[in-house]
Amino acid sequence: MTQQPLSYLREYIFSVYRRVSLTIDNIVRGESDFDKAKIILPFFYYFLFFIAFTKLEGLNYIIQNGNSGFDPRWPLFWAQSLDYGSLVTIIFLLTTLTSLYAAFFPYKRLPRIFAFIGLFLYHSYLSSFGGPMHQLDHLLWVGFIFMFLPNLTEEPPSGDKRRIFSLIFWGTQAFMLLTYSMAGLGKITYGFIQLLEGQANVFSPDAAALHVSTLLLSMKESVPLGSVIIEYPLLAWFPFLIILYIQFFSILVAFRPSIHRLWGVSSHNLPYRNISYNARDFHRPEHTDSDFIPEFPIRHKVTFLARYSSVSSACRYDFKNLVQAKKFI
Amino acid sequence: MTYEIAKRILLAFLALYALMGISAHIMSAKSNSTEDLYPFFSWFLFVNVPSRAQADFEIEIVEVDNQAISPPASLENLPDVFMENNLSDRELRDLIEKLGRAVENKNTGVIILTRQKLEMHFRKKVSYNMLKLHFNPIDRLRTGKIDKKTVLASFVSNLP
Repeated sequence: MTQQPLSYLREYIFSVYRRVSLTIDNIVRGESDFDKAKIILPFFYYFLFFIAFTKLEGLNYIIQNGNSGFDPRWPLFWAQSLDYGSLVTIIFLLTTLTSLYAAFFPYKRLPRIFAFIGLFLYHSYLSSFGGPMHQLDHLLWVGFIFMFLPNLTEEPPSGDKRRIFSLIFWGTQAFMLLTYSMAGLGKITYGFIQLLEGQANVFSPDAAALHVSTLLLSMKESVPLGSVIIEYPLLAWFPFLIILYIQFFSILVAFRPSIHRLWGVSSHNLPYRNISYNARDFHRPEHTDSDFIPEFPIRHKVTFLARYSSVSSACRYDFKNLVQAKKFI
Repeated sequence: MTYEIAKRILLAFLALYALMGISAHIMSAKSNSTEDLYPFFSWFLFVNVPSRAQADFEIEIVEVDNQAISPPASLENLPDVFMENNLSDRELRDLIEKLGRAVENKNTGVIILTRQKLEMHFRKKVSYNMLKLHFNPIDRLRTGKIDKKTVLASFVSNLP
């Protein structure tokens, strides 16, 4: 009796897999998408190196601040035997050197593996002060997936290699979009929980105003758009729901390359979004690949670069845009 | 590795990430801690909409050097008048919250310690009330309306 529902479930999962698989096959062809992905890839490592290199400037300051609250994560298991200054120096230098190595040889797997290890140690270090630090999560996992790109040592690469390269590259896009969907899922789930408990929830007309007013009160600050939302909470209701919709269904964008740009514009550039969902810093979007950028003076250019290099815009962008990205550098 | 195998591994990875991320969130929610499955993350950020009925602690300055402040003012609005300028806004807020919670819980040890930490920054003798404010955050920002104000305790600073 219990066999039947299980076999239905299995059949259903397989049918979903077949549909997803077929859609991916239609997107990932190893043709012009491969060429674009190949051009974009080095920018990821250039940017990684840029971050690592600029962080070196603050190394002495970080060491002087001491290791108060430092509780190493498991990737830093070897850290116990070192003094704090040496550990931080090793991690920062390793991240810089490995990302530089990968920036020079982005099409070889070994440098990409080293770059990931360096980034992972750096990420672990930042997450070793009482709680995880998520600002570099996207970079970390994109770096992880990039390790599986095939070596492009032969010219021209075989058809199979081109297609696997495109597939893995698509995987990084899908991963980033998945994280947005997970964020949307969390908000909707807790929205229903709060709704059932009779509390203000994400579907309430004043939800955005409550977010904004609570944050502004805790920060003792005011921003122009915030005042408008507080004065007219209903004004923000509809955009709030649109943002929720965009977040939740983000993963579907991975299967519809034609709406990449629309998604990019709506999720990254809605000023309203910045003010409503963004907690501590009203100038930066929530958990995007530009999260780690605010301290940089050339933020907009770097954000632009980050989007092109760390895949959120990815392989369906046309060549003209890539040329523009190069000009920015 | 063939294309088909790579595709299966990739899809399995995406599914695994989602599963691990959500599991990490459930774990931390159950244990009410920041416990996680590093480096997986649920991305459940800002999931709770703040309540319409909120409460906060505030220190209300009543007298400075036996001179009444009229009307009494929030410490955070006039700290540099009589305070050393070596506390950041964040540190001051943390101290006020800590003192407020300690007063509410009648935790004498923490009250004494926190008062010492706070009052060491006063340049003058200060009389102050520890308040608990109840408010709707939207109304408070829009009109300054406080629904209820409770005096939890009154203190006079001890100059060294």
